[in-house]
Amino acid sequence: MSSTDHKDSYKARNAFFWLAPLASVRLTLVLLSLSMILVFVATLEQVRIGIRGALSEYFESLVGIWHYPEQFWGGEFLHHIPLPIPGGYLLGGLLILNLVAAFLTRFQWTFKKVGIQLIHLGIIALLVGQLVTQATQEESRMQINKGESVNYLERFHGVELALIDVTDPERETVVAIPQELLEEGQRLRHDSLPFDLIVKSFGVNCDFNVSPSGSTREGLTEEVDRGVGLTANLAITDKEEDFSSDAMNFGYLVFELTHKDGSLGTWLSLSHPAGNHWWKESEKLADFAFQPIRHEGRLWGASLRPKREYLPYSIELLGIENEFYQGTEIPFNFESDVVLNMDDNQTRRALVYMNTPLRHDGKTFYQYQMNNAADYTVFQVIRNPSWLVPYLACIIISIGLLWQFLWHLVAFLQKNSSKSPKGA
Amino acid sequence: MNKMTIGQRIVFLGLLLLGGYICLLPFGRGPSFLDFLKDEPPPSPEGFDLEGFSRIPVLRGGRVKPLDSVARNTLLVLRNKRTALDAEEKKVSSIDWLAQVLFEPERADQLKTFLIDHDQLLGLIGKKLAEDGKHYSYSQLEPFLSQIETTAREAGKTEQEKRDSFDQNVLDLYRGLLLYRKLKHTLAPPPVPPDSMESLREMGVEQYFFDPQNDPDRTAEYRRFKELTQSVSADPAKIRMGGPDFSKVVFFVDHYSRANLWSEFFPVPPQAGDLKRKWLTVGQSLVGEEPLESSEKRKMDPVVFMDTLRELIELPTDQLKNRIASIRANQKMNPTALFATQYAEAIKLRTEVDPVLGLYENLGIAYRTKDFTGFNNTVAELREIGVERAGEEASTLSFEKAYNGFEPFYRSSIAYVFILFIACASWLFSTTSSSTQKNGGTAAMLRDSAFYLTAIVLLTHTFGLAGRMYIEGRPPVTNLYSSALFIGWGSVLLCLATEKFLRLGIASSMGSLIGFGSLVIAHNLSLDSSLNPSGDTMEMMRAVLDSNFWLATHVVAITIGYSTTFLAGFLGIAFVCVHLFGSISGKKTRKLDRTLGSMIYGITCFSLFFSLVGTVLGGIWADQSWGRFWGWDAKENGALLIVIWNAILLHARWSGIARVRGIAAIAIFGNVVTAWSWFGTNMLGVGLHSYGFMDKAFNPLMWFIVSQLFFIAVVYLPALVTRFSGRNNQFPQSPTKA
Amino acid sequence: MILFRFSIFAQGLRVALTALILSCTPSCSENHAIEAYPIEPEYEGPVVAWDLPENWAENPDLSGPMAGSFHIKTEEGPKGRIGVMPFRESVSILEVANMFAREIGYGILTERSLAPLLERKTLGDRVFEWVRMEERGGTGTGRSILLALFRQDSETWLFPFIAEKELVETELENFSAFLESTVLRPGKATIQARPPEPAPSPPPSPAELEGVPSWDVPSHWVTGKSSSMRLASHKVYDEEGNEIDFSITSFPGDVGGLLANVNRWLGQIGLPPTDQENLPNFVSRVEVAGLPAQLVEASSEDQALYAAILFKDDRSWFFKMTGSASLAAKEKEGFLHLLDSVSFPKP
Repeated sequence: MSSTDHKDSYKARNAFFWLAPLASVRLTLVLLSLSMILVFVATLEQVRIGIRGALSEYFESLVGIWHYPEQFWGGEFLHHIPLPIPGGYLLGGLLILNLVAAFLTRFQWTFKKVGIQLIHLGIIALLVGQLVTQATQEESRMQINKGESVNYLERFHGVELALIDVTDPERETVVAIPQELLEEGQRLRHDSLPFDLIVKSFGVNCDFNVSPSGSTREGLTEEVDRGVGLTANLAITDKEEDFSSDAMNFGYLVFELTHKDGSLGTWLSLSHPAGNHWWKESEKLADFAFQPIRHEGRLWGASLRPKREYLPYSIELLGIENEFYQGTEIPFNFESDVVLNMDDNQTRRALVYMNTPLRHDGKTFYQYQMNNAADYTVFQVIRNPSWLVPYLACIIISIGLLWQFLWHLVAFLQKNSSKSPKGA
Repeated sequence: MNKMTIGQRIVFLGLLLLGGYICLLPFGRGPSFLDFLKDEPPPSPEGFDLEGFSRIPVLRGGRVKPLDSVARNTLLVLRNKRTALDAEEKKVSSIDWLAQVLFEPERADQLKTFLIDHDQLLGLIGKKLAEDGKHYSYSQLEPFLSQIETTAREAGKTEQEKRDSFDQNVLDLYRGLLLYRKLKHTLAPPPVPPDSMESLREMGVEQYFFDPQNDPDRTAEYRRFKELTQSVSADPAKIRMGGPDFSKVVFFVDHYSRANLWSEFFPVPPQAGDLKRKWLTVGQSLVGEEPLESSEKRKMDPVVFMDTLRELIELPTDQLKNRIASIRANQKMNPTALFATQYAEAIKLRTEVDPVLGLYENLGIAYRTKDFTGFNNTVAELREIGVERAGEEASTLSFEKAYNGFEPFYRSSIAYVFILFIACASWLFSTTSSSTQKNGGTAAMLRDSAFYLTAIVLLTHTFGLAGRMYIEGRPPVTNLYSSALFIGWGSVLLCLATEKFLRLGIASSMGSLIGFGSLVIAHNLSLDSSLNPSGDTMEMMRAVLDSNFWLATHVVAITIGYSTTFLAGFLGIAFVCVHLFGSISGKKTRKLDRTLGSMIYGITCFSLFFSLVGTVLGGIWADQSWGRFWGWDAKENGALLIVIWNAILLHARWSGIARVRGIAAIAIFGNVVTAWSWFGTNMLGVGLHSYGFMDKAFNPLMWFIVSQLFFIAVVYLPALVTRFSGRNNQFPQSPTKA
Repeated sequence: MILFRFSIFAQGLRVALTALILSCTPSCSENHAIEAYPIEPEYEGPVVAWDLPENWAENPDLSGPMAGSFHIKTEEGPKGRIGVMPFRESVSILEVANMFAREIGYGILTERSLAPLLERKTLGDRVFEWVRMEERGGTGTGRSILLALFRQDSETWLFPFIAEKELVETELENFSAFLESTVLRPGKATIQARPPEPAPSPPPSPAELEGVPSWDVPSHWVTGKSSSMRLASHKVYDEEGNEIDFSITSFPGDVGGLLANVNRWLGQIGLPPTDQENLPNFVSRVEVAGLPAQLVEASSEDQALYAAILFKDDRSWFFKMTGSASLAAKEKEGFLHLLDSVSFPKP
């Protein structure tokens, strides 16, 4: 490298001199140490609040508040002290800044260092990819009974109020109101809705029980004068959302419909965490899957259900296979035999089993659950627009590692050939 | 090596020979490496051919294995050893024990098969540890069975995390007793309880049962049952409510189906033409498998059942098979039709008594009458049939038998202790050598012998891993147990390489320490009843893990990451020892410090490489099978912690923030991080990877962490002393670079 | 030289990185909005909808067989009652009229007596059978009943309108408009509504009925409510709390035929349906009132069914006993005896 070259590159680096404090290794070390604490605490907390709770409290936040676990040694005193833990978005963001700043100010593009640069570049890509994934990835489920076909997905989390006009035999119209809009006291209207909707109360989880007929309902369902809430005389109590992995969150919504002449009535809607078709198991509550509302010559159905997404194609389940190693309870195969029916009348047969998902239209269908006796399968469906980023990052990192390894190997071999190896 | 004196040479060779002997050759007349090379010994006409008996193939835990493995693994569960004791507390070999359990249960009941060492639990059966010992036979425990059962049921109601050691022990004992009883009844279905005999006489089934006075063996009973089913099969009109023959058939199908529950392994190899290659229990071989749980029988409609069954029996055999298959595939919610298929199979398809049943009966008779030739011939016949019908699955049987006997990990762990002693001795000699200038050669000789011995042990250790891979047909790491084996192996391998270039005795000693420690951990894992309920460390893999590619890449890379991080940490501990020693003896350890520092650095580079690659590969696997690259699962986070920690170490060194001492301290804390990631995350009982919840490991883990923190404290002790005494820092300043 | 190129590469990379970071920073706020979109029909239930006249309002306590229930808003408060009732099977207008006739003093109607009340009315493109009855007899509240019946495929839709005579008169136009506005579509799934059990009325004495048979009832059978469709209704209990239910019903036509009826009954006692081939397993011949009839016998685990079907003068007569299997077996004799005793009045 000539001295002019050196000067040029120094100038180029100089353009970013103001980034130098951000690029310091000390900052890197501090951030890494803090991430150790974050990851450790968030892992511990999964016992208490489940993986989703830990995600929203620590990883998908700027700062999380941690209390020392009560059941640990000294917990009865230490438990009361709230400790702020830097969150994933904060640390992730700062680490990206730190790495990029280091890139811009400090890193040298020499043969010796190319490997290191590439590794760090890959790590930036991984971090950015994870941030984007965390923000954009959608997880849904699809349950199909044997012999039937399904053309929609249901989100694992989050509900919507669906008002469906089924009057037209050729085509149904769905008006979906997402959970985020269901705020108490909110008046909602939409061009496709012939009435206004007033949210009386809404919650993501509740306890409900059928009160004896004749008794008056109090509290959240007091005003309900239509539908299942009335006929089954349901009383509900609001509950905190349960974040654990086997949580059963029954969302509820009390809403009133009004139009220009006044109120049409007040309904209660409940969402079943495993999908509203489960309501049909109970005779009294069956209508929660579809509560009829008749207005101006049209039949509407209301249901609070997991957020749905309709697909331009459908998947039909031909059969399932669930096998165990003989004499054990260890499964060795879950397999669904499906046909993908696309809108242009094309079909595609596919086998979905462990480690082999079905990929179609930017979505990936994974074998998730299966019920052998009742002959249905459940797919986990994921749309992750940035799914390619980790793969690219891996390739960059691998090249970097390989480069670095070869560089050292060559240096080592040269050293060894020039000098005889040291004895003991 | 060149400068060795004759005496040193003799000691050197002696040590190598001794090590090699431990690694490969027999202790006394026991098994050795030669067993793999020799053909099996011909059966002696003056004794039972237990050698051959131990190689009869059976299926247990989803895997075809020799009876030898069944015997060893069950004894491992029952008394944490691979042998039993007789009444005089003399050792009884596992296969001898199994033969008695299967064929002469009355005698086996007297053998001390159960280990009870919990004082509270001994109180339950009125025994004292000091007086009565900790080994008990089934007959000693029999009077307390109902007490043990009620106590165990009570303990079982507590959540797993909240059970105390008494709960855990009584549950283990209860499970052990069940296992033992199942084993006893595997070849001989349990008899009908005497109090129900009366009603059986009324039903007219009594004369069908095995009568020890007049019948040669149990196959007589089976044949009578088959005659009965054939008469029904020939005349389907007999299938009606209250029909005398049919109600007998119903009774026996029920009876044999219940016997299926009392079967610890599957002795009957798959029948020719069975595409699914299913092994069978005695009951299944007679009446097939129950399509649903027995309790579902209550939901049957008897009228429809009779009609369906009659209709099925009237079909010709080929059509019947198809019809059964179609009912089982399409009417999963219909217990009536499903149970009808089992009855139809028992009546019309299973017309013959499998010859294997007869052979096992003959084996039992020969064993009881001490008919050696009869026994040995039957063993040969059973093995031939078994191997022939099992096909490929039985190809590793003889190897597995020899492997079981060889116990490579047991040998390795002893040899590691041996090496550790030699390496320590070499240090001792080297410190004395610097003062006397005499024993430098001896120290070098000891270091050399430690090095070469490590190479020899590594052969045995490698062979142990390779043997498991061959038997399982899997990459080396498949469960927690094998991860411990592999962590030890990886560390030792790396130590060997380090020692090759830096013959200091340090890598040898640390390698043997990790090797020994990991094998001890592995042994304890194999004894853990929740991780390893069947006693077989080569269990089957769950569907999601069933991918040799990812097991071979992700799991192996992560495990190497563990082992290298541990190695770096132990080198950190070595640094502490060297340094402490140095400051006590007042010797300059500057050069050694620097060497250790660069060893830690080099190994951490390795470890960052492997843990990063392993974690990223894990992400890709997770993306393939669960649809997300990273899910913040407990085990994933554990791996991430190791990656970050290694990155911290390297950056701290590159930036010059940490010198050798700091590096050593960071590396020692790396042990804590790795131990957490390896064991701690499993203890949380959350997440997708939690394949083994272990509460027993909690205390050892805590002690380990405390000890590591102690070492970290010690590493800074001299610095504190110097700071207060105002002396200059005696630690080397390692050259720093970005 | 190569190094020089590298530095160009590095420059490019830096620019790209800055651009990437800049482009990443916004676009993280999600917007939530109400969405409307069409889908392929999923709903399998019946579709019943209407356009309500301005001065009508819905009754909140919609229950039982009613798909809709309304009142008229007047100055004196809600008045009158309009309903929507779907029937799974096809029901004759006579049947329906008889459900209401007795309530306002008409007695049992026959084809002949109904004829003058019946007219056909075309509303839009649909034809309704239209029956208008005015209250007879002493109470004289002046109620009027207007029944509109619409048939479509195998379904029958009934719209009863009960109100004071004047109100019916003034709301006639609204009622017609309402009928015209209705959307009626049978669903793929079965309608839950069962034929209604109308307001309590005194059990008809057989003599009152034209062409109604007479029969002897075992003395220990408890007499229950009867109605125009259920000519007789009895219950039998035993000490163990078992219960069986006996009824005699009569319908015009053959009500779907033997197989359909047998399958319906099998379903009621929890057995799978049978087919024509296996029908003889359940059915045997029997004689009722000197005429050939079918005797149906079936039993599930704990339920049993004995029934006789008699087809006479274009009507089906069902004599049906169902309930606890053990008790039914005991009462079978009484049942057969009852069948023997059935006799129709001589025309």
